[in-house]
Order: sequence, then structure tokens, then C-alpha cells
Amino acid sequence: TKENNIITYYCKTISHRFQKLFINIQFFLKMCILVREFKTVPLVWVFSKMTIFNLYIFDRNGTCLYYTEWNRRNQSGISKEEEFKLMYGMILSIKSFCSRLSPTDLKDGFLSYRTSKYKLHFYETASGLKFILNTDINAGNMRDNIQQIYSNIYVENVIKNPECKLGQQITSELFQTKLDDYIRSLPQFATKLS
Amino acid sequence: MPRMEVEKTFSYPLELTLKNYNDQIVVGFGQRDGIKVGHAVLGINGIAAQGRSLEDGRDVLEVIANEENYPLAIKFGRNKLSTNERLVLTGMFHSLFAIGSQLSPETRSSGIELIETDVFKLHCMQTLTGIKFIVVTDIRQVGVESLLKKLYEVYADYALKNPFYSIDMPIRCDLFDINLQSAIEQSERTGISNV
Repeated sequence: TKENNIITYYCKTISHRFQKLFINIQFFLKMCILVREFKTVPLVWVFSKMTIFNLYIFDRNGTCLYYTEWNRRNQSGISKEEEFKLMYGMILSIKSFCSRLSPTDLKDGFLSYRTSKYKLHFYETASGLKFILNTDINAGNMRDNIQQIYSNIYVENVIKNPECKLGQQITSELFQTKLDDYIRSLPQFATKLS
Repeated sequence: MPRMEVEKTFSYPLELTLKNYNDQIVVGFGQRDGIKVGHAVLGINGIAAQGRSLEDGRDVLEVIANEENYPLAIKFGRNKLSTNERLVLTGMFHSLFAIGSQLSPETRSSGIELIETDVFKLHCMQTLTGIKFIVVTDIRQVGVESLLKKLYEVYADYALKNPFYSIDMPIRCDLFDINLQSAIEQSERTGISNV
């Protein structure tokens, strides 16, 4: 193919000292192209090790409006109801912890935390709606993405839908598919190849 | 760290809503002139406030409610953490650390290593023996990982090797304090030069 020709051309022209290195690179690129053909995964994703695990949406009273997961590998070992309560309680505690610990006045307050394996992103609207998104630790700032989910997906498909009762679990299929499509389209969403 | 304090002279009636929260008189509503919601009353007319009452024994809310006392110079600021509150916060972090690892969507996750907010970052390092070193820094501070390692070194050298120190008790060793201070000063210098 054309790509292979270019790579071989460069290998020949550059001095013998670097040739071995370039053969390695060539091999690596070939492997990447192979993976790309067989798995139909864009080349960028081969290098990245990012993924999105799950999303929680809580209202201001602590009821879990929506929960969904994509690549979750570990269940917490308790029922979903209890997990939601634990998660909500933890978020409330972290918020209070941060506001009491802070040396100066907070504006947005708690944004995210990171452990050795995952990163939890938190976004709260002025009306008390809480979005919690768990991603891999390599995912950068997801604040804008969560804001997008809130303004373009939640408001459009839940608030503007008279069938969706406030303060109850979201059952709208339109919302679910829109959210799923949006998350899957993000560059941070890529399953690990391992 | 300088404490942020605002002193302002008020006339009757007060434009702020004050409320009693955790034995502190704090602003509940009405942010203005650098006085934020959550700031506590630190003093009135130069007399320091201790909790809900002034140092001369009068109740803060009663002084503020009485029209005859006006104009009043009231000092507001973030209240400083007491030793007791610090202990409460440490205990709180301990449980958050454990829950963070329990709610992990990925297997074999550690507890919370870094909390980010818009004004500070909290770094935590847990050693194999279960001791946690927690550092609260500015969001732009770099090289905190090496600082934490250095703190562990200082702890091992000057607290654990001190014959008068009994384990799991508060550290009261002068050498530890001195070396801790110098480690933090060094980290501050490198942090600034790296930015």
C-alpha cells in the first residue's frame, strides 16, 4: 500500500544507524493499520487507554434519577439501591468536607477525585441536580461534556418531555439512546484493547 | 496563609441575614462587599466574638437585633478550623477514602489519591503500613508526589526513630517539625520555579 511504500522509502534513505529503530516503528505502524482494519477502531484509540465506566444522575433529594454503565468491570457487591445511597452520601460528605477544609472561599466546590484506577467527575447544577461520571484516570477535564449532557440531553429530553415526572426515575427511551450515542461518540470512550 | 477578613460599619436594619450554624453566627443570605455566605461573625466594634457570644458576655444576635447599638462595625471572615474540627475532618476523609475504593468501577482500586476543587487540591499518599500523608495545595502546585515521599522519609527518620515517640499518638518531636518545615519550603520554591 501507499503508506508502506513511504515508510520503506524513509528507511532506505536514513543512515544505517537508525535503520533498526525505523524497522521497529514500521512494524508498529503496520500492526496499528492491521488492528484498524480488523477492529474498525480509529488509529488514535489504539494509543489511548481511556474509557468511561458509568454515570449517575441524582436529584436534589438524593433519589437516583438515572444510572447506566458501559465498561464497568467491578460491581460493588451491594444492591443497586444501596449503592446509590452510598454514592449520594459520599458525594454530600465530600462536598461538605471540601467546603470546610478550603483555605479560601469556594466557587464551584468539589470537581473530581482520582484513585489509582478511576477518576470521578462531579457536576452540580444550581437546582441541585448532580451528575457523577466515572472514567479512566487518563481522561482529562470532563466538565464541559457533563454540561453538554445536562443542557443538550437532559433538559431537551426530560425537562421538555411532559411524560417525564420530576423526581422520579427517567424511563424515556429517547433520553437513553441520545445519552448512549453521545457518550459513545466521545474520544474518551474507547475500550481497552487488553 | 493570611486570613480573609472584612470589617464594615452597618446601620439599622442589617442588610444581611445571619443564622446560627454549629455554634457560630454565619451569613445565611446577602453577599456584598467581600462578605460571602458562610462567613462567620469574628467581632463587633473591635470586641472579638467567641462562638455565639462576644468576649464581654453579650450574645451576638441580641447585639445585632438591638437598634440602639447601631452603627455597628462588624468583622466577618472564614472561621478557622479548631483542633476538634480538624480531627473530625480527618475521620471523615478516612471513611471517604474507604468508600472511594468500594464504589470503584474498576477492580483493585486504591482509595482517593487526589481531590480537585476550584481553589485547592488534596493529595493523599497511603503507605503500606496504612499511614496516610495528606497535603492540601494550590491547584497550580507541582511536584507534590515527591513532597509526599519526602514527608514519609522525614516521618520515618525523625518521628519513628525518636525514642520518646509512641506509635499512633500525635507527633510532638522538634526535629520532625523543623525538617517538615524545610521540606515544605523546598517544595514551595521548586514548585514556583517549575510553574
